[in-house]
Amino acid sequence: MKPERARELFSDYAEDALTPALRLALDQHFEADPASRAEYEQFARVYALLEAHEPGMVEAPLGFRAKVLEKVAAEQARREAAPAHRAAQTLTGWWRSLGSRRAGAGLIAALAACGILGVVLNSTVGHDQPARIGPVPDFTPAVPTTITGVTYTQDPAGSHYNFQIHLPPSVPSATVNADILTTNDQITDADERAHATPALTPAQTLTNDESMEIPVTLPQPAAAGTTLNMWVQWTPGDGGPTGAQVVFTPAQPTPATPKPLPAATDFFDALQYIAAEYGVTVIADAGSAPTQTITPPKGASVEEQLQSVAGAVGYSVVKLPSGAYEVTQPRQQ
Amino acid sequence: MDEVASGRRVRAKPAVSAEEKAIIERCKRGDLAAFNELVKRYEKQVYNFAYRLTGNYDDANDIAQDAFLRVYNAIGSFRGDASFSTWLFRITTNVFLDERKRARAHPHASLDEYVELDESSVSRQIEDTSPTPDLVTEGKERAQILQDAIQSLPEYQRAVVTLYHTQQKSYEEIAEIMDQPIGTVKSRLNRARLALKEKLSPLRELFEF
Repeated sequence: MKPERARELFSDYAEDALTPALRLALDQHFEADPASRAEYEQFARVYALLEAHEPGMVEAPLGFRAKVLEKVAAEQARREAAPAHRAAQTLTGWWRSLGSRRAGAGLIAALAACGILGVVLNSTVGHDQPARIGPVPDFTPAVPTTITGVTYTQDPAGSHYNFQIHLPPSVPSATVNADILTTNDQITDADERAHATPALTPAQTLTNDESMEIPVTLPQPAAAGTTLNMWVQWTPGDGGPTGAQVVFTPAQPTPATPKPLPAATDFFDALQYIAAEYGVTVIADAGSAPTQTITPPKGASVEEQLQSVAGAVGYSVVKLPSGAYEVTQPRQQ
Repeated sequence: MDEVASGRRVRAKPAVSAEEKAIIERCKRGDLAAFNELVKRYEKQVYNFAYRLTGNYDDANDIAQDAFLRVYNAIGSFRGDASFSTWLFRITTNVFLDERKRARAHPHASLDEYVELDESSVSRQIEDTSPTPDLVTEGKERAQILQDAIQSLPEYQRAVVTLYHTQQKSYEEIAEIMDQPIGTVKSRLNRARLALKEKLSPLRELFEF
């Protein structure tokens, strides 16, 4: 056994959490390598010190709770004032209605200021039937895809993305909110989303004979391994079910050898990782937050990886005409 | 309660009492008196955790206050999948990490500053100001040296060490708090303990290695 491997096992050895075979292997290693045994003994001493370490508890400072409640009260007041403030923030010129609506320079400037990075390579958007990948449960999505794809171009002025959004025929009209997210926590956590920067506010009303385009320009090429993430929620005007999707757009096209997904990863983290590593756009339902830990197969294709991740939470995968992959939650008709 | 068996400590997940559930439900309806009760129950834990993460009272105060404000804003989305305590620690950890990100965006040189703040970070090569063995003899000082060594770890390692060894959280709880797989938590903890061993080895005699 190499010393580095032995060190990786020190904690489990101290906690008697190794399998009998690994424990035996480490015992044999210690017999053969007294220096490694001595190193472990130092480690075990530090472990014992940490276990015995009981730093005294300090009291929260006087007035702590009063200060918290003061901030909460201020937050409440801010919320109550928010509708009027938002109404005053009408972004005239933000959208352009020529069969499509377009987010404008405000977002571009805000994103440039925030330095959010990401690059997407994809084909044009259409509304043809998506192609299902692999075996799919017998269901029809009640609220089909709303994010239909992303295109990407680059010129001296920066990296340009274009997010396409189109309500399905079953949703005559809906109010659409879209936010750029910087962490996966923001996908399902309303408070986290509230801090998304920048948000496309105010919300826009869209009918299903219109398409919405949200251009985003970044001042610099994106770094490998990053994604630009957009969350879109729509609330149908007829009171139908609210839907939400998130799109992970990769920084760069498929690398020669994508790194395998880490052994155990959360659902949205796994999708983001696949998008970044394989250079594909991944769109996922974001109305719920699957908590299963994902362990996809190593060396699999991007479609097999996505199927594995989707299958672990009971979702399925479709490939959209735009080339993006959609990971959808089954919805019974 | 903890149970020590064969060197491995088994830690039970905290249960949420019916009373606490009722308080949380009242908070969701905007009841400030209920929120006051919730803060009262957890302020000491959160403040101490923030203090162990930041190493100073002022920053701990800011982080703990912001954590409770974030709890207030997000409590409507608390579904009870995790215990409230786990959720609260997760928020506090996130506030701490966010704050450090902001600090990184506006850096200012400091003797204990780190070049990068993820687990692979390397401390600046500045003169070692650690106390020498002849200056520290009492157990109290030894505990302070250990605490200082923990403080000098990169943020993520510091957080997992504090959660496990000071806050007595289980691996499962830490995985929920840090939003990381258990395997990642365990390997970060192992690396943190190895790093502490290296930091403390010059003081081997003091710690009776």
